Amino acid sequence: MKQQPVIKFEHVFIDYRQNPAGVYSIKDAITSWSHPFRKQTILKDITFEIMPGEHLGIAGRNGSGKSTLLRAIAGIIKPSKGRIQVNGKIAPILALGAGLELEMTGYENIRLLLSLNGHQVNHQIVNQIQHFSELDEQTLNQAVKSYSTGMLARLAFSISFAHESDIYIIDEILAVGDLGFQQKCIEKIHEIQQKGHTIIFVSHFPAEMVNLCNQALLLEQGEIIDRGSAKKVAEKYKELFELNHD
Amino acid sequence: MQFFRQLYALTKRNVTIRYKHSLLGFIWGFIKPLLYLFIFIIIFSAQFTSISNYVLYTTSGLIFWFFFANMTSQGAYSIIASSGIIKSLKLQTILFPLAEGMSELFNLCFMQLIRQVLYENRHPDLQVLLTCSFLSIGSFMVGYFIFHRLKNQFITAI
Repeated sequence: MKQQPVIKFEHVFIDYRQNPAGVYSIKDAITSWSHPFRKQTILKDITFEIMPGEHLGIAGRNGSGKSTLLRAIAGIIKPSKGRIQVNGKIAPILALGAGLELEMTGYENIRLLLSLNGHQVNHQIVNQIQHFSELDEQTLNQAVKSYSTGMLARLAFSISFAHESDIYIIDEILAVGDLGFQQKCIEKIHEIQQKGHTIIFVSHFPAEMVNLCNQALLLEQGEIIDRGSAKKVAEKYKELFELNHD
Repeated sequence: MQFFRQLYALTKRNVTIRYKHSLLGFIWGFIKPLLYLFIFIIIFSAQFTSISNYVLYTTSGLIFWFFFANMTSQGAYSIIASSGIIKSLKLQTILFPLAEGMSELFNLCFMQLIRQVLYENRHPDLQVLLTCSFLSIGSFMVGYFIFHRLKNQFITAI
């Protein structure tokens, strides 16, 4: 029997409405009849499939639509055209520390973020998060605003990985944290990979991508220009910038 | 179910952060409207002597006005303030103004209790509480529908 893809994109277009002129005033509304918002297409005709257990890296220059693609997979934005099919539970880790409340303590934040992600909060899972983040009880009782960037990243990363999901979406978040924690994260990712879960990973470092992914996708101005093994795509990604230097 | 869990978490967050690091802590939220009430009472009670129980008269109106004013202004701002969360977590946008409304509702209930104990010198009775809750749910619904209609415009504004 042929395996069902976990994620399937069929001719997906995503548009944003943008206000190119910045502030739109009453004067503009009276003097010109044009609509203040301009439609901008971020993703154009995206079609791809991800099979279960595949580890997909996504590369591309800034503004090529990587984050938009991830948000579409996570279901945060809906496509203006096309169809997106997702089979499985998604753990989106799109921005580290999104939803963290600076005035509240670490423990309160753990509970808040778990509930916001739709999980049940119990003592066991809080302990598990504390253990993984290697932050002590005293730190977690402090307000999060007194944390360093690395500590914040530890906390956020630990919360995101607390629950088991089928698909993990990771948006260039390994850049923070000290060496020990980075290694721990990569170990965690390898562990997830061995369990056969799917990982979608955005990185600007081709070496990291080759290390963590087997398949990759290269985006350029909202279109897929390459899809294949991570090694091949990483080479192509490097070429993209060499051409620009000439 | 998940929706209510998220709503509860957000409401709890709103209530905690509003009162957290201020000197008087939790009580501060009630002192502010109480001060307003005192101003009203001191200035106007001499004027309107024809109203038999002026204090009760003013407080019953003002408490609901504070509730409505706070809920609408904060509810409107809440979506823009939490744009970061909306962009990176899968949450329904309506949760944010709803949670603001819920935390205001919480505030309102406390104000009602204080009013009853202070000005009527008796413990809250069921009838008054029921009237309050009906009134608050009513104004809450108004807020809800307004935001539901304006939601899309807010998002484009972000």
